[in-house]
Amino acid sequence: MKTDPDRPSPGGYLCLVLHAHLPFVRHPESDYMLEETWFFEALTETYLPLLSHLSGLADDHVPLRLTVSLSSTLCTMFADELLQERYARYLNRRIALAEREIERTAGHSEFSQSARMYHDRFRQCRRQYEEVYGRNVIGAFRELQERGILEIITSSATHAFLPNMQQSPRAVRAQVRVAVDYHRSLFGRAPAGMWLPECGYFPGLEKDLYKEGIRYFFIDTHGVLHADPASVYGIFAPIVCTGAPVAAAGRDPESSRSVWSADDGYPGHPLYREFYRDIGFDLDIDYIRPYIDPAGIRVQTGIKYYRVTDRSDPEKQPYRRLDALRTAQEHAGHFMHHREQQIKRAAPLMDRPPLIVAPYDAELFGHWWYEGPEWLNFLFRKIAFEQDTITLVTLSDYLERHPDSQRSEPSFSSWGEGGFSKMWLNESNDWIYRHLSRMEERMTECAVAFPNAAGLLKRSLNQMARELLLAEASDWAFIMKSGTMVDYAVRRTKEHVANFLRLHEEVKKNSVDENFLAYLEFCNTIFPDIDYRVYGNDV
Amino acid sequence: MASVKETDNASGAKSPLPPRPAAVIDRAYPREIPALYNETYLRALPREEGQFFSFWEISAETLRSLSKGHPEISPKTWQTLIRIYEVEQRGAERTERPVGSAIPVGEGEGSRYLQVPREDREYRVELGMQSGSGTYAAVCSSEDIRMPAARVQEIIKHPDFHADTPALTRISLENASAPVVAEAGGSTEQSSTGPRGTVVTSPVSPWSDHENRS
Repeated sequence: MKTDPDRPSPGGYLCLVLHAHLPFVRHPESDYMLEETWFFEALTETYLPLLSHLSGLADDHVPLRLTVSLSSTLCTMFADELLQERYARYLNRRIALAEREIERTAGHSEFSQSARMYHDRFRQCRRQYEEVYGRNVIGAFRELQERGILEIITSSATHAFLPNMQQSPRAVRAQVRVAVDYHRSLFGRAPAGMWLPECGYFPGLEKDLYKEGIRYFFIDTHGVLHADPASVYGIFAPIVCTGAPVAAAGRDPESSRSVWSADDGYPGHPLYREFYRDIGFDLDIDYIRPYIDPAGIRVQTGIKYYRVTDRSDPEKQPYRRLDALRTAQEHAGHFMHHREQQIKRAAPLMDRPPLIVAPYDAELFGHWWYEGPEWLNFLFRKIAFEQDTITLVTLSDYLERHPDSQRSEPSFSSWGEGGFSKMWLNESNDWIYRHLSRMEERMTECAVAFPNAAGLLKRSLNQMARELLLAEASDWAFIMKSGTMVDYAVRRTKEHVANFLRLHEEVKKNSVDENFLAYLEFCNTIFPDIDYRVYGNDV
Repeated sequence: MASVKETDNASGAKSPLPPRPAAVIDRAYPREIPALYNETYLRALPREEGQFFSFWEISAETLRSLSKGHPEISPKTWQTLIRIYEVEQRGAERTERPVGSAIPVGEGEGSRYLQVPREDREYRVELGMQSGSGTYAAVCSSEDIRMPAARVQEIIKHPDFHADTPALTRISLENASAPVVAEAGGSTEQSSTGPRGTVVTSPVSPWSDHENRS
């Protein structure tokens, strides 16, 4: 669906991007794994609500263009039967908990209203997931793309931070190619764009992207502002890389800050729901035990009764849903107004309409910022009906309208702390790169040495490729630095390194333990159609 | 809301599971990984505009070869050194200039964060051995690495595109530093407090904060 052709020429464009990603977490060997709940929480609070709002917008014929990046690891989990079954059980337990909460809070009207809200939400999620989508979340996204409101792009195969892999060109190529191939198998078409994990770009990366059919990517503000030669339009237009004709669009920091900032961004508003007061931590352990980790470890349940509250107030106050929704509507208007002002400031200085690129992690909307999906809904409706300055576009739309862009080389950059690599390269996680570099070399050597493997050997080489890709996930290094769930991230990294090295030894000795191989294939099911030769000579 | 079940095809709907293996190995089985690999290599990864991370190893076989080729570099007296070179490539012509003095590497040391003086330049790192008498033998080298740029390039007018680049660059940077304050009640006033001239580069990942506080 294109924007209304009768609408007067726009003052400028707004390209909103939601990047949806979670690391591949799947533990068939255990009945319960805390880390799998990351996925269940995101489904409940972000992906299903977003799909619901987007479908409503499409049904109401609201002109809308939105870019959604779906990482391969996330898509794999969407499609996984085991995780689908576990999610269904998770939802049923949440509904049961909400029913108990309705009873427990019957004497407190504000909490009771919230309890009913959660009950309704969980039931709505179940109806959506089971009856409307038939557990096919990928199909739901695909349908929205076919209806013309979404452009779905991909990210690197396991969300590897590519600048830290630039010394292993074949590994970089594999991350790009495997992702593009998998995306094509899911959505019936190759992605036009790629979300570089953490906006991590290094000069020359565009050549690998171009070879795989990628025509644009997003980078952080300084990746464009520090480009050589200087970007004529600042960040208000993409540049096309000198190394290969792939467009790079820079993040607008003002629109970013208004949503991301913990201090003065929208999500920190006193009337919004407080993330950290969850009944999984607040209520008596015996009451909550049936609904948390079976080992009795307190976890988030998704049921929270308090609002952020003014900082001056020592106690958190009860959440009031209607007040929060009114605030979300006001904030949507505020955001829209400031984008209009930005466009009006920049437009007279340019010979084309300015472009504002506003990318966010999708999980911010709904999981961290509970009212985020509603804010988006309000925003899209306001943009459609309350103004004439902004036109929503994807970068494909922009490039179709403005095919001539300045050639320039973007600068090495990321949106992580400090703007370069240090979030993924510091004393907490630098130890991993020795192992990754050895694995990447071994994988390439094997791919070249065995160009036509079959049977058990082929299975082993394909599984080596999976273990390498999983070890390269930037999530582990990020978690090690952020200090949360570090044991799990270290364990996952070591597991994949050890699995790979053992398979490699067995391949070298021509004595593969089929039982061990089958176990890895059973657990690490990502990229079922992977071809290890992606690490070999150019194919 | 349209149902997608009827339009569903195999793509994306289900991912068939491989068969359950005959024996499920306890996930707690030891996942030992080597500390080192007994191979010779040197890698360098840019970290920020003036710093990169380097890691290396020298295999026993390389050391033996070195001893044979350079008997004057006795294992008992040799010193492992890191040398950094600034690389300039102009067409086919390549020049290298040493950066600072060679850096001694401690015994057992396998990685280090290293400083370079200039952003937006290429560097190469080399690991070598030196005897007490000053004989030096290079052991291994990194690929050239490009350090990131940390400033806006000099303004260049482009003949095909017409814009007030300095003003647009200034607006881009000002945008980064103007905090947005949205009050309940819908105020659309922007606060004028906050640092100026810095580029916002670090959104907080919801997952890191989520886990940090739980």
